[in-house]
Amino acid sequence: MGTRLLEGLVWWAALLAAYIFLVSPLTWDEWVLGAVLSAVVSAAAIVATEGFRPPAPPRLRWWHLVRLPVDLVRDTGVLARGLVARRRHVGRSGTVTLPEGDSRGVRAYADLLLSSTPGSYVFDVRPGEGRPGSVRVHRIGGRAGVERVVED
Amino acid sequence: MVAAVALVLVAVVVPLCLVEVFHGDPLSRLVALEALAVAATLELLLMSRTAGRSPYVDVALVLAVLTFAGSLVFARFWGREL
Repeated sequence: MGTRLLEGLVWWAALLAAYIFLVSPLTWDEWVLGAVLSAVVSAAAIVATEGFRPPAPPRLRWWHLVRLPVDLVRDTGVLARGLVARRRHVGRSGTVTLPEGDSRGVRAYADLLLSSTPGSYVFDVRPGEGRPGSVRVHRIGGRAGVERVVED
Repeated sequence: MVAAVALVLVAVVVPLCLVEVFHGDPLSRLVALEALAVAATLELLLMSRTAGRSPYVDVALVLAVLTFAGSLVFARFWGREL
């Protein structure tokens, strides 16, 4: 409820700002008209978009973001060593099982997080269809810290 | 005079659309919102004519373009849901 109210206020302010930008200078009755219609339209838009919302990602834990820069530095080092040594085949593929059920939000979140470091990328996403879903990753080092937090 | 009458006639559509937006099922809400945008665009053009305020033509133009883009976005979401 609070989120929807905040979303409505943001839309109201944006619509009113656009109206002022396009129509100014405004008379006082145009100010009132603009404010009222912006409120009505923002409310209508929020109600109409119910059911169209993209899937919510799993709750972001703060330590996800702490592990990310550590993995970035570590994986960059591993990748650099592989390139300097001119090794042609570096790394191996593996499977990361996702913690929750068949949720597109969870899969998208895991895909984004696991592909954000140079050490791993997601090359296949498997919906769970009732069971926990999984993603197939290729990694050049050991299991990244972000893999462990995704599996939490 | 004709513009003023048209302004009133089109204004009748707006509350009807709003009722559907707030009480209809998801697909009806979307259709009502699109109809509302069309009515609002016409209202703005007629208001510009009756009030002699040309900036309302700009608002109508922006609304028409955004309605088109919004329809495409909604259609994309529907494609995923159905």
